[in-house]
Amino acid sequence: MMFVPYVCCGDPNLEFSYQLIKKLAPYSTIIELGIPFSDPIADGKTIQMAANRALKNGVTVEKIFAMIKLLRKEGIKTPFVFMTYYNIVYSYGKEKFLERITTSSVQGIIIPDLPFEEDPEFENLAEKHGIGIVKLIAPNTEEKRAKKILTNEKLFTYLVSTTGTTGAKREIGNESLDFVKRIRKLAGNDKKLYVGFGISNAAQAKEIVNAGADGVIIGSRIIDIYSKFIGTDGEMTIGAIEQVEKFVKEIKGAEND
Amino acid sequence: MNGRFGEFGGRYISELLVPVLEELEIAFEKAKVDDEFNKKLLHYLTKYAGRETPLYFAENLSKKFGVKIYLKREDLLHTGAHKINNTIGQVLLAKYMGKKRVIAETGAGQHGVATATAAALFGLQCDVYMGSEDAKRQKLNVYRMKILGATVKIIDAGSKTLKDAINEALRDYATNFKDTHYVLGSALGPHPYPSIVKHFQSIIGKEARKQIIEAEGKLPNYLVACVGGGSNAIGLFAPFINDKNVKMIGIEAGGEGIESGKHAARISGDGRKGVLHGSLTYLLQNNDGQIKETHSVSAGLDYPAIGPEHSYLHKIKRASYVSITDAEALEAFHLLSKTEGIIPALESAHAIAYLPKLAKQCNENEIIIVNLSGRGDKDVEIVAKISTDREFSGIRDRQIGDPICGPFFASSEKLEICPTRQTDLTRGQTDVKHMSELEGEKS
Repeated sequence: MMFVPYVCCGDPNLEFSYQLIKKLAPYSTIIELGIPFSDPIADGKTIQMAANRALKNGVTVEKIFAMIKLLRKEGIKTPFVFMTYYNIVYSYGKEKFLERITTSSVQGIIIPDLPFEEDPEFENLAEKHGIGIVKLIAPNTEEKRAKKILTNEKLFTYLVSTTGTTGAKREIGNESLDFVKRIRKLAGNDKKLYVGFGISNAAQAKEIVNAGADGVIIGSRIIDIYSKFIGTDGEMTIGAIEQVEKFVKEIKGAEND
Repeated sequence: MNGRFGEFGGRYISELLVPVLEELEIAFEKAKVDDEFNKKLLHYLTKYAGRETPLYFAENLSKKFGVKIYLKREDLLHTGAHKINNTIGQVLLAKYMGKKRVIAETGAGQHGVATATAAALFGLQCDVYMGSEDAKRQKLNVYRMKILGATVKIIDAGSKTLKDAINEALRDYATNFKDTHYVLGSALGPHPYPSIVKHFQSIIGKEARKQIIEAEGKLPNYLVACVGGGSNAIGLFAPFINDKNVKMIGIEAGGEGIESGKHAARISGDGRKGVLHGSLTYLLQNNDGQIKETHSVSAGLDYPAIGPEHSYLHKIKRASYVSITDAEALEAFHLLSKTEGIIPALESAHAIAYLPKLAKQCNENEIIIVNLSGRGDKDVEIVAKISTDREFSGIRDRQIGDPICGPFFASSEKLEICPTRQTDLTRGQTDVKHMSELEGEKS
């Protein structure tokens, strides 16, 4: 099973994110690096709070690039994709941002508030710089549009499992599984379908993969696990990373059950 | 590209909302030309909401400033502001689309009240999102919404104002779109919202255009309106956009002054282009693209982005945008109350506050139409509180014009100081400098 964890960079500080990414790397197909944004409309409470903590502690785009540089220097080779909102990119300068990504050996970017074809200029620039824009398909995306998105797949396609926002959910409904099956049928076997939004345990991950997905994207659940270890002073206490690792092992083990 | 005003606007929104907004756009385009829909809309706007509103020649104000001032009396509408024009339209549209529930965001509470009102009228369930800071300063409107049968959802995230209420409403919409319509209250957000809101609010300008020709036999020289997201302004401006000689001026919230950093002046302050809530427009943001917290004494103007069409009108130089400080707006609040017997909403008071500045460039035959977008009942408590606070804090020089001159129900002796206020109106700048000096000392 392909596993893509999401890390909210800078939550609660960059030192922790750095350690977390190093720990996650051996288990991960790709790591999603979240650049926090003040107004994350696609995110539920967990990621909202994580982004808040990170911004309060002074995380910036440049500091995140510096962390990535360090990780690459230490030999972490896992592909990275950024996950951030469009204003972060726009404010930095579209082309400048893409150039910076290329030189930082980050492979792609996911922008939840930039739907396919909203900014063709940006899509062309990304193509030029060899940066993959990972596109999303939702359960209510029309078939014709879904096909077009799949044809334009870069790195992988992100399936939004349910309506609403990110955040761990207790159950994966039949609607979500039917959706995955439907898109798999539409996509054929050579497209990479990763499912995110609400997946929080090994059983759910297994269901999703059995329905035809290549892998799962998990963010909020990981934050829920480590955020319990954030002390009243905002610093991490001992044991958080081990708990996350235990959880990731469960997910990775799910397909062998 | 669809839904753009030049480069501004667009549909920067999650994939989940793409088909939802497409459906909304189709329904809206259909309703716009549907005779039955338009007949119903007109019926409720006239018989229920109280249209058309008067275009009142403000005699005393005109005499005072030496220019012809007309007030478009949106404050006289049912629920007390222009917001009802849009909510009747959108809730009717929601009904046509077969939705069972409407949601809305609200800053000053006026849009929330207007949505709750229309929802009660048309029998839909209604949830209104409101930042906790706004709920505190507009308590009366929270009660009104509850009385009307709406559920008020208080948001404690971020700056706890309008911006955060919109975030939460968009999240709700992305979750519950099957049975829910999001009644966005201003000319902002993703396409087609800026166009929908403009369409329903344009009745303000259509009436004003007809009325001023009846009264004066010609078009006005100036249109003045306050701009939070910009719905009352675009509603007034839109029918005049092709009348090149009519100058249009939008008034942004200058808060404690641009240099204090505590304001909501996107175009006239230090905003730059960016994307928020589905639109490319001028935004208040830091160097890293994080949205800044804003400040205004009026909750309805306290928002970091301006509606995309205003960014466009600014860019092509068709409209100009200036800012008015809290202090100036408060003075204008009292000025209009005392000279014309009209208590304006603090939002609309920003537009009034620009009159002395504008009048200086005008001759006595020139005509200004000000959109009096709302009435001030909702603000009486906050104005009383500010006046009391200032009385006791002692940081302000009374001569600069503490408008109430003491606790709200002060003795008549104190109230007599107030006539000096008239000359104070142009002196808001002094006040700002004073405030920013204080800020400077702190930092």
